[in-house]
Amino acid sequence: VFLPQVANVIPRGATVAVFKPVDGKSHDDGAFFVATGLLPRHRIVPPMMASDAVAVPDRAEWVVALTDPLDNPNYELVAKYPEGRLYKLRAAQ
Amino acid sequence: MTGFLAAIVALTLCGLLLSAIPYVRSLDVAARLAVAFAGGMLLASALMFALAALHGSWSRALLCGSLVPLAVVGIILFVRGRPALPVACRLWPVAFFLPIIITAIGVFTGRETCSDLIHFWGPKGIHFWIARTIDTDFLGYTFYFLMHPDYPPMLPLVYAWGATMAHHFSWWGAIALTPILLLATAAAFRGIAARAIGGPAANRQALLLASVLALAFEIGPVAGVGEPPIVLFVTIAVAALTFAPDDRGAMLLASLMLAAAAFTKVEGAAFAVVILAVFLVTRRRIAAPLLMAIVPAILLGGWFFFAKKHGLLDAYAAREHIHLRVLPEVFKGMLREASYGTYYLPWLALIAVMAFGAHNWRRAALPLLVTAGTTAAIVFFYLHSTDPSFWIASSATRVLLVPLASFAVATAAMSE
Repeated sequence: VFLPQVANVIPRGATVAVFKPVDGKSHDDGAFFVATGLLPRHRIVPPMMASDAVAVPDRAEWVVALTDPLDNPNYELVAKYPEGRLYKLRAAQ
Repeated sequence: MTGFLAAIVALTLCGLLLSAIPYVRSLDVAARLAVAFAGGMLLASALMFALAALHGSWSRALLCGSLVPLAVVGIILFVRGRPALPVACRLWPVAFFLPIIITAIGVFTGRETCSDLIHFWGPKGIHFWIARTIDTDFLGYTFYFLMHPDYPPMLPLVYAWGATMAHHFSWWGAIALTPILLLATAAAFRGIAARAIGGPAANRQALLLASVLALAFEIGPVAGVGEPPIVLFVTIAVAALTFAPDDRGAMLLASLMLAAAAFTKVEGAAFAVVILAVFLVTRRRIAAPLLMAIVPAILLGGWFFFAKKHGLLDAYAAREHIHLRVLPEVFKGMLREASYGTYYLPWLALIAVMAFGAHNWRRAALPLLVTAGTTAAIVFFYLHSTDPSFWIASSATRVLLVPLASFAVATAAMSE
């Protein structure tokens, strides 16, 4: 229900990290592989690609946060949905 | 869901081409249709793979233009062929459909869906469909290594076929294939066994096979992943070589099913090696197993070189050593999972029938040895992990379906 909605917002080919944040941070869960089938026109990357540990050019361009909010200043909130939130990497990055 | 599912089931029409094999023509109508379904999936996926390997992309027109002529020839062959055996007992379909219906209920309530469908098999099928070819960029993407980029592509290709024809991929359609494949497995087995042990006995054994597999499918769970199709291919191959070991048509059919099994799952290749070795030992014939190995070797070899060319080699190039120290852990884990949470009910049901029936050890030698050999192959695979406990817990109930299906054939071969 959720991912097909954000699929229409995120540009095709963009890198996207999909996960349920824990304490606002990226978290490695099974959503990553599931998203490869539900967002087939985007490049799904692991949750760690939305963390500060990753160099800026390699960071996920978009984050789909399931259920809970993401607490990462590098990303700005784009939209809220009943099932989660969509974030975009800040332009200044 | 309907269009996606109908497109895949319609592959039966081009699979009717297998009616050109006299042995297949001698089976009853239900068995011929079931064999045709298996053959149709093999033909379509082989064609799609060949086009991908030749840098061609798929389209509805190209795929239909290639397969419809085969279907026309197949239908002609099917209509002309007269079944050698009538349905012997009118009541058999009533009982026969019970395990299929139970499986369908399990599938459509989501209980039998395997997570690997949404993690691996489904995404591969979707990406192949969108790319209109085998999407090597997707398979080779660094972060997707857990999908095993060189894993045999038959099921994703079948999904891509369904999506190409229906213009959409259906998750429900993918899992809805499970009861259809179970029905095909039981019908094919019944027809093949009936030639040797008679209709009523084949009905009983087919019901037993369907019941045992239905239970194991439920516990697996296996909906949407590679096990239901590989069980169909394995059952046809083992049954054909058990009940008609001297028939050249049965050998050709078995060879095609071995190719399909090897093109579906990694353990399909191990199964092919085991059954050909067992055939060599039990029949003491060298040429026949070598000839039967040709089709699987061409198809799997083609896939291997395709994967190598695109830098996708993973499982087939694994260099992990065997860790014999984990052998006790592997045995314990496999024993635990083989119980299917029902105190070994599937196995005990087969053993009980075996114990109270005739004891035709000679006829049952091939499927019994295949059961032992494929089980040993599974142990061999697990020994390549330093800590196989999670691997066993997450896969053993599914990979043990190949030995279980083979054991069910052995029960029929021995008891009747």
